[in-house]
Amino acid sequence: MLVSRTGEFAHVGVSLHPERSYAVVVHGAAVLPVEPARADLDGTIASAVRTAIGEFPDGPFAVTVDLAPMLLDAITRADSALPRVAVIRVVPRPATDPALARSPAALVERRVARRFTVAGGHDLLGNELCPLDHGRLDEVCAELDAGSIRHVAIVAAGSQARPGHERGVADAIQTAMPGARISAASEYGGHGLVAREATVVLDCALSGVAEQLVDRCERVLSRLPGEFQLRVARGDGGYTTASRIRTMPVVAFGATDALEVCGAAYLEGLADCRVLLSRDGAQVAGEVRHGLAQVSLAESAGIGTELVVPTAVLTPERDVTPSGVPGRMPDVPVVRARHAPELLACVGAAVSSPTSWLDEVAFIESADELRSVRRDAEERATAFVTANGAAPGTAFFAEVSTVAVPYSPAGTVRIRVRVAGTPDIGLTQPLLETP
Amino acid sequence: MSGAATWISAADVPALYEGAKFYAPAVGDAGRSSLTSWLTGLLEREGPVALHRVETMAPETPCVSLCVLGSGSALADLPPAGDEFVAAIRQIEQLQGVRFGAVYPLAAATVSALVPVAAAAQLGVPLLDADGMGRAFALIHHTAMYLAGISPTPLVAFGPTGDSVLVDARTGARADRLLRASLDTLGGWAALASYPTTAGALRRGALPGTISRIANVGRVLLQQTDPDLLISRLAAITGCRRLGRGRISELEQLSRPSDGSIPAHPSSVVIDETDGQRRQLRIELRSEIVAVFANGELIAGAPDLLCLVDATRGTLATLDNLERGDLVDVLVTPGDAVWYSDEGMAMVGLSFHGIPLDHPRRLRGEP
Amino acid sequence: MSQRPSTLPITLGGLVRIQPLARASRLHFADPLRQVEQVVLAQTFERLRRCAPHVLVVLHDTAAAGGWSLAAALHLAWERNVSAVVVSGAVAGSAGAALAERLNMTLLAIDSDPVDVALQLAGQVSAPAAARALGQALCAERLAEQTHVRGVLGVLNSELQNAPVALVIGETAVAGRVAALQDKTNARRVEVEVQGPDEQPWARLVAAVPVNGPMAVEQVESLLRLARPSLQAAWAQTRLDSTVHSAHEQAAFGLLRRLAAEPPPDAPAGPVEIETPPWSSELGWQIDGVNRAVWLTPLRPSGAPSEEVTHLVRAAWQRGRTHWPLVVDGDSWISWHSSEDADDVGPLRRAVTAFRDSAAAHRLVIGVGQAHPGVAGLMRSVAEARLAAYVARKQGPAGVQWFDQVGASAALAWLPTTEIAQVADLCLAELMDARDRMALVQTVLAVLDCGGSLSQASQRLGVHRNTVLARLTRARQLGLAYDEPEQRLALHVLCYALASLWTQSGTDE
Repeated sequence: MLVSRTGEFAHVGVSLHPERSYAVVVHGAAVLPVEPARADLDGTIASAVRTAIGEFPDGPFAVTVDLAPMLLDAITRADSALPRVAVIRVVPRPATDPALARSPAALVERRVARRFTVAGGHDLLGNELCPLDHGRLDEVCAELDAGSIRHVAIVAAGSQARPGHERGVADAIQTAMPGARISAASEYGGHGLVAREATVVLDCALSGVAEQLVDRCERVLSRLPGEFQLRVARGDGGYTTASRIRTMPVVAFGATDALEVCGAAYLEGLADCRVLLSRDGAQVAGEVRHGLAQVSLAESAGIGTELVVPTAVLTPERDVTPSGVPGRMPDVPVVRARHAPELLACVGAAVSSPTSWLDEVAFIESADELRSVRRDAEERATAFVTANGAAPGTAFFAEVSTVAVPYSPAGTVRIRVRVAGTPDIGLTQPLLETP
Repeated sequence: MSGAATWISAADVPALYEGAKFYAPAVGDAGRSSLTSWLTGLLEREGPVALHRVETMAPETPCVSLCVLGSGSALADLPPAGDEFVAAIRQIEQLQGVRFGAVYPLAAATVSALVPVAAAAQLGVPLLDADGMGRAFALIHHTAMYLAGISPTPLVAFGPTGDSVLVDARTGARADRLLRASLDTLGGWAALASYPTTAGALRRGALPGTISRIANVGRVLLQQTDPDLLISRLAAITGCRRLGRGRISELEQLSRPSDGSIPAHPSSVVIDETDGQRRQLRIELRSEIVAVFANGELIAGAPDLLCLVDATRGTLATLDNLERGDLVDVLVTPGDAVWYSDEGMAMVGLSFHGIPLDHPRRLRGEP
Repeated sequence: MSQRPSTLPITLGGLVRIQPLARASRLHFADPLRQVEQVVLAQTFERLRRCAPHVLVVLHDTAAAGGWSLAAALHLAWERNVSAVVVSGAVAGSAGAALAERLNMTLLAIDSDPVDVALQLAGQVSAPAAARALGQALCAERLAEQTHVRGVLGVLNSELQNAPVALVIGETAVAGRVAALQDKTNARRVEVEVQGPDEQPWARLVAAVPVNGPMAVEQVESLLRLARPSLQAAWAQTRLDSTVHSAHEQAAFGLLRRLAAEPPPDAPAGPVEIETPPWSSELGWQIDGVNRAVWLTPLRPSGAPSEEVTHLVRAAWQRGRTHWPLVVDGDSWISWHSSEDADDVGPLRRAVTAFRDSAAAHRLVIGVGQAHPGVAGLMRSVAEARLAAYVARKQGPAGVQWFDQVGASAALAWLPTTEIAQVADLCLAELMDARDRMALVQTVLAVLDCGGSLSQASQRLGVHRNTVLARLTRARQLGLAYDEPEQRLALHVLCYALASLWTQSGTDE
């Protein structure tokens, strides 16, 4: 049976690629590919929306756009016009080795024009390791102000637990250069200085591109008759609002894999399965649980470093075992994708749900404290998913995991919460009520 | 220096990293790219590091062990400035008035297996193909050297903040406690230089061949393949076997009474077997996997080396990264023989973790 | 108490009925019939390894450290074939419950100190008869606390679990589990008579005891006997005080009538099945079968009867039929007989015959309705009985009229409708001037015909219930006080006469 997550409304899924764009209209079991006369962004979206109105005249409609291929193209293209970024690290001491001073990912480092280290930072639980060096900060501000760089990425050790130093730096930069585009790592949360730094560098670099794309989509939709909600697919296969992508573009990064996996599962009517896709001639596998793609923080989209936004992990999969059945997971069905990847991504975008993700470290001393810390994290994740477009009260915890952090002081736990919600328009059925 | 050496070059770094994870699957990959690119850069700049078997070194050669003390998460969030390990060694050299002729890992596992390579490259000294644990244990005196009567002190812990602690203590346990008390202030992790000794003492005190071993295991792990094939290949070189495969159904915290002096509180992972007898596997954690119960029956435990393989991805599953619903294989690999001796068992066996049950190997009548 | 104290070991089911295990939460309960021969307080796994089969293990100290230790203890318990494992609730999580289920090992979680619990259990297990006696004593205590028949049956059924118990009057279960009456080849029937306050057998307690169950027949019987005083007390309490009782019956009947008149809002359209309210069994009423109502009314009505008259009528009517109701309704009394068989008129015929002397003495007449099923049927039969009683007045004191024989149409065809309509012009002038008089009269007639049931009337008229209500209100304002007992019958007849006149002429002119 079909996982009817589109309720009684037509949903448009769009996948934007540099060379052309793709779209489908999904309405329950009906999946209509869109064949636009002009396959650019404007033509594809307009054609898809007209198809939706023509086939299903009773709105409302939602249009979910996958920007990831465009964003990846922007950072990988040699002649990219992306802005160059200044990075300010707030750590107790500057790196003594060049490899430790830069990002291990060449694609990220290419965007970095200047690097500064300002002494400061906290540990994982928010204890100050070193006071913020205001003298050095003033020098950095002066240097930046004198130069031409207007995009500044800031990452402070421990800022996910205590963002004070990071905010101090951001305030100082803003004061010195009122027009600067500043990205601070604490806005994304997550772990690992390298991953957090790479995320803010990309955030800074991609903000312009993401903004232009979202603007263009909105312009196309505003010229069409009717009311449309524009949504942007997230790396984890869910979606968020256009306005959140303007402020946190990296969230849209690497969405395509998760969308393809979810799209293939949807077409088979399955909410829990393993999906086999073909990638550059080889077979890869992804997993779907509760209708959501299984995601992690591994290196995404081949950029050479982890980010702090989760993406679907596709792993190489040999074909079936000698006995003829895929042997790894006897307890879930295996789906072999039968459609073009672009179509799958469009379907995945169309049927996606608003999601949020939280990954934090906390310190607990008792079971009661653990409960309250978890509840707290769940509440925050719920608030995020509502901000991302979920109808209030529909949050569903796809995963809440708490693990002890090895070799840390007893009581240190890592909490991860993944929440999906029911869209605030159109989708009338809660996510889990699937056959 | 005499005898033949092998070399560790930049090309070996990925295999070392993966193999080191097999011997201590505690920490995820958050700090992976910064550490491997640092080490790769060093080996490219300074050239390969010579890897010597202990018995090929002149017995009087002063040697010192290195490791990352503290959590991998802290290390990932505050990566090294790059000079911490050399700085720790230099302090002991100053104190003792020696110049170390070789370094070796305290534990050839997790990131602690990589930092001695980096330090050897920085110092221009050889690396010994030996270590003190053959895996990772929680406390610094849980080493073969300590059992052989070699003192861990004087030791120096040098933190990423640039602060350091020098500890001299009468027993290993006190040294560990003194050290651990400073760890938070040092930044959550520290470069630890300890067990200053000679190559001669290490001949009888250290576990040989452990660096080459992780490199071999790492090469197997790097060939991404399906988990069944992966496990049979690993079995061929490590003697591991699969205890069961199942889905994680529960992650429990503070699941048993704990003693705050050991890092990481006790937690448990409950796995429902998906095939075979469909048993309930219960995995007890304390930084590492301490014991595995099947339907309540103890089937493996420390000092066995226990790890999880993500059966959907064919990669090692690290303990800070588990989620309910994950499909995992539970693997057991025999630890080094020294740990199954009465002294070894008393130090790192099940009773140390508060599990007063006989080790399954003993119940089976194995030595 | 048990006549033959059994020395059989106590069962797990027996232990969890009494403290301390009555408070324990059952994370997995494998088999209540499992015997418990000994209690072991296991502080170490070594002690667990030495357990004999059929012991109950209370985990403590090292063996109850949580996490793995519960899993290991469950496994050892399973290996040693113990009966149950008791552990502190603080260490028993969902994974422990899951493993207990997998091993099918009973796992009970307690909040109190394991040592205390083990000591108490040891005492209970070493003296199974005493524990059982304690169980019975506790049961007696619980029985004594019950003030209602239902409560008594509830206690019995929770105590006897696999042996269903019912309170039976005639062959009908009036309370408890009907399963007690169903013939089962693998169950033995145990019956205990229950006497009413007049020493007459009033009802029976019936239990079906599984042949291979853990409870001996004697044990069940003694429990049923134990319940007798409570039942009698409950019965007496509601029965002895006749004033309270008749008020109670009156209110209850009013409630029944309202129930029949106003089915629940979510009830489907069409004939409504009204569920017999459970409180009716408390009064000893039987309504579930087909009901035939009896209307006892004075030859010359003169307002509500005094309590004394009611008492006398009750005494006469209920002689030998103590469970037959007698409900005061206006100047009359209602009673009924419920039976599985609509043609079963014997008991009622005998009752009416037996009552005739008293009827003559009190100058009463008797109307008997037809047999109709359920609550709604009872109401219909009451209306019929009332009409029949009206006809019976013509026979003088102790007159009896069965509606079956007279039939409504027959009775009414008798009426001088034209004359009656002329009376209406005089005494209901306001109504007769109203333009909607026809609708109003038809509505009131329908409601009266339906024994006061608005929903039945609305169905019959094909209008909404609210319309019926509105018309009734208007009719009352215009003088058609159909709900005043003294006038009801007259108005009923009047309405009938008007309606049939207008129907004949096809107009209300």
